[in-house]
Amino acid sequence: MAEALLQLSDVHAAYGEVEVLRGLDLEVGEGEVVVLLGANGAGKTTTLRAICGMVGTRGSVRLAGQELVGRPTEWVIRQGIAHVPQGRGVFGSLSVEENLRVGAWNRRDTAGIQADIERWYGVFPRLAERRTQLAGGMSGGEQQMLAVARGLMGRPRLLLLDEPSLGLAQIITRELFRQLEQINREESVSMLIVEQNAELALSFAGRGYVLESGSIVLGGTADEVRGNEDMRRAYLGY
Amino acid sequence: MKTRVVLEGSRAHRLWQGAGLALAVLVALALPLLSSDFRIGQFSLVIAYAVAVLGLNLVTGFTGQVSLGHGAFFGLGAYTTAILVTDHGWAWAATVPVAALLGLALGFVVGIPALRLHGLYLAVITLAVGVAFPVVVSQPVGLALGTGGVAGKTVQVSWDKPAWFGLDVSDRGWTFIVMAAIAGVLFWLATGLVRSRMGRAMVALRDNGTAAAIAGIWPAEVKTVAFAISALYGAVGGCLYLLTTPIVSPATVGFTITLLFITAMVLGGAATVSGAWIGGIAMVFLPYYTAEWAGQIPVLRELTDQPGLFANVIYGLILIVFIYFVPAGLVPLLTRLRTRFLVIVPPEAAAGPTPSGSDTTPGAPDGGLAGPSPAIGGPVTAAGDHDLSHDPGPPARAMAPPRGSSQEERT
Repeated sequence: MAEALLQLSDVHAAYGEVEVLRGLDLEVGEGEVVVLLGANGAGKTTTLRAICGMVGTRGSVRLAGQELVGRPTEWVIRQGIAHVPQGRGVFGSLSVEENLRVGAWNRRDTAGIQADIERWYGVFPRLAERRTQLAGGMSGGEQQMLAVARGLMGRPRLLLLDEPSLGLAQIITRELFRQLEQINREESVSMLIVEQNAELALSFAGRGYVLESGSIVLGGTADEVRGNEDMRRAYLGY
Repeated sequence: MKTRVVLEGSRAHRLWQGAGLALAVLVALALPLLSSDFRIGQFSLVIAYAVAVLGLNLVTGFTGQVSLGHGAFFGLGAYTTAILVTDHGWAWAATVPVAALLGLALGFVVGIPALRLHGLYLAVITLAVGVAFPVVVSQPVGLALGTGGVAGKTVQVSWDKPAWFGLDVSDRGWTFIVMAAIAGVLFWLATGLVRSRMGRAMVALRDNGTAAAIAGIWPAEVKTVAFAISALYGAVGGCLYLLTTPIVSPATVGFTITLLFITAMVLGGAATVSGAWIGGIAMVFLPYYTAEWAGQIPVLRELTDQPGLFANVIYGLILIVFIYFVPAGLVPLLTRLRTRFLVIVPPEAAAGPTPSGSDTTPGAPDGGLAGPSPAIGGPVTAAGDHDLSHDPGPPARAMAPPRGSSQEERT
């Protein structure tokens, strides 16, 4: 079997003395959407950070066969990964539009960049309204939209999303996921999503993993994960 | 007073910009006509310092990298010019590119530790460079290069006003006009830089280093480029300095001037381009007038026969009051005041590619020196009493606060 686009095997990651990931295995196939579930502190965010070289990592993280462990973050990003961090990862004293342009740092196609900016303004009209406003002065939800749009400005092959729905109104979350679905379908961007809203995420993802204390305890298709008794009790609440 | 709203890039905006430029040129030509040679010398010094301070604004104000070695870059430029002119008979103008390139190289080297270090640790490294420079030039190794040791290096650059120049100015006045033209170009280039792709990356790095890396920005590239350009401006400032002062010595380029550069940067507004002018003015005139004032305070006159000694105390007091009340610097304050009667709004979405940038980026104006401060970093709040009925756009735009513009560029 050909290797998946993203392949994590036996990944350990630690903040100083505290080991957060303990031998994690995970894969995301080409064009696949995978959701990562787990309780607070299970290591979901750390998994994304380990992929991007933002935390001390052992083991193997490979993107299209290329080893990422030990590489600096900006190098990893250049291989075609976009990471939308949890919370507010925007540049407060740049305008909305300037934030989007920073997201396109690695691109040189001026026309394409402009088209993408307009595209995301279409998806998030709120951002269009505030295009000249400083990002630091926007609400949490608006900053979240901006962070997602900025991540996609880099035209990634693989998108890592850390709690994209955090702080967004439900209707906007739905619109965001609809857009993500469309991007995934039309441009076959692979996605690894950490999401609290398990029901919503599983309805969109092809596969899911459940993380507990730094390793995978359950992995399978979305239906398998949804159908698992323990899983349902823990995360879906029925 | 009615508030005018002007669209960025529109004809009205260009008219305002043109008016500002014309005013700047007028001032540059009028000053040497109306002032004594002593005053012209002071104004020339303002130019030299302003160019150097601008370099510090770029690396510390915009990029957020603390640099305590700026005096070394300034000194490198000054010494390069002095040695080449005095010992090798070069023309001043020919030495400037050499000094600039040397500055660029030294800045690049100093920028390398910034790749791994930040905050205090980086400050210590740059401090070492700043402190080492005046020592090196007075040591045998410096003497061998022709630095003149502790006594310093004298240099004689004097220009005669060319016959074709119609205005009735002195030779010093002519020198001032040339310096002003050079500085004008350098400030114009810096304005372009901070609005460019690189400029956005610099601010992104300052605002949120992690997110900048996540956006694919290579911090190493941006930091070293910022340091190199900063040092280039510092070195050219040093070259200009020799047009006002016939000697450069280790005392001139010691750590004191680095501190003065930093205070100048903060006074004008660290994350601004035009703030460097105010910094330059403060560096020249603040010590001059505090010394004069100190001599006029009656109590001090009775206390001591050397009231000038209190000049430094008054200087310090002014700085404290300033930093307390205008922490973001003067230019952001002036920009805010300007929005009471002139608001410049970036063009609408339909306008296509918009060079939406501003001379004044609020936030971390101290380059992170003092940590977060409540007065800064937030959104620029529009002065609430605008007459927005002039706003030609949809209501949504009225919510966008006006951002600083390029307009307040020159003296």
